[in-house]
Amino acid sequence: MDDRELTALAAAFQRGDEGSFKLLVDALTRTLIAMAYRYIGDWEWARDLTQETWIRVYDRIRRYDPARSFRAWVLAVHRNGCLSHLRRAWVRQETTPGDEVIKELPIAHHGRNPEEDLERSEFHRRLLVALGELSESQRLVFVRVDLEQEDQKEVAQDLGIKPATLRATLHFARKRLASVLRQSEESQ
Amino acid sequence: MNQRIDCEVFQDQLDALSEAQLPDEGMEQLRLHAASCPQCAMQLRVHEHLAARSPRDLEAAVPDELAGSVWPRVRAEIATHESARESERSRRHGWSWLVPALAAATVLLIVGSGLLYREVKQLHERETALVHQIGEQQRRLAELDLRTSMDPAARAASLAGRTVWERALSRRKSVSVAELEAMLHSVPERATVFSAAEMEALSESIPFWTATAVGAALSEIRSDDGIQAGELLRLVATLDIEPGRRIPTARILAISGGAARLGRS
Repeated sequence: MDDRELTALAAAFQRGDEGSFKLLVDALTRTLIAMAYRYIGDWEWARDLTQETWIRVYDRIRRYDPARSFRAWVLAVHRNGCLSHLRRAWVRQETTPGDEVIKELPIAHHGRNPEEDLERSEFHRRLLVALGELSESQRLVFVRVDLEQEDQKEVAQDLGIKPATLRATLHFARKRLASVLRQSEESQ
Repeated sequence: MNQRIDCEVFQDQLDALSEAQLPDEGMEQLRLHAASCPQCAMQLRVHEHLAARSPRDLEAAVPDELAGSVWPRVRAEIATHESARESERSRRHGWSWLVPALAAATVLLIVGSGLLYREVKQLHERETALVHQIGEQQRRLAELDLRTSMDPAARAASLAGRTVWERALSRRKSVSVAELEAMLHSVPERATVFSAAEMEALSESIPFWTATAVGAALSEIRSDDGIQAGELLRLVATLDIEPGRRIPTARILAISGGAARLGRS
């Protein structure tokens, strides 16, 4: 289903067509689960975060402006949900030194090699911890470009900033992440 | 022939790699540089970790039963929400039947007053007390209705208490984030500072860097009741805003409607 059809369905739901909401959920749920999995690395958690996003969308859809892309709007709500989920872990971490809280996040990659899986899981967990060390703007740019693999120009346009500004922020974010990850590796 | 590249070129080539526009030779240069630079090697590792599966591959890998389980769960949760809202609505409007009932009772009392004057007098006193009680209830319910109404006049009334901090703000051209926090501390913790719609308008009107943070923080607020002083303080505390950063007060007052209330243009 393309973006125009999705937006039309959302507008129909705003006008009272209750059946449209299920069609929206059916059309975008796989995208949302896959996106949350990129953040959390676990299917069950990804499903729960997707469920929460749809409830948020249901609650807020009357504030959605059909002149904007519905898909982009839902992805933004979902991204905020995923980051909030991680933010809760980062905030709690402030009162619990070490990365014990992030360890509560189950990470599973379901690959073919269990050792490789374990290594990837551990690296992903450390990456999530390091993500908490970035500023909000660096984090947003990093997750959209490197984690969600969105096009840099489109992200810059969506955020209303120049591509050069986005690129500079992205470079700072990558360097900062690399530093934090190296420090955590050295301290092990 | 492979040439050595520095960290700046490495960054540009990493961008090209993430956009799938890096030629083989560039990839070799990237690896060569990473072999001698631990910082850039870690960046390459992060990139390879995250790019191992494309969004499209991952979407195809979502287990069918997992995707299929979302709608029944969402439907059940929406039903629970709607049921809670319905009982709330019933609770609010449950008193309305009492008004005609009381009117009928009054008529009956008046008709019977010629026969049972004393009883009528007692009943009338009880009726007056009840009418007063109902009036009080309706006034309270009207206040509750105001909190969820999007009507501008009703919203303005529900947020009337905020003129205290608006007046304080209007005395200055700009405030720092730290000063704003201090002002918010002087407001009752549960006082509504901005309605949800105003908070969104605020986040759209401020620069990108702050807006992204506010947007993320707003996702925490699922209610349409707006944001309370205590919540706003907690949000400000979690944001990456320099305490010395100054915000023009005119912008805040324009959004809250305070400029109009205080008679300022």
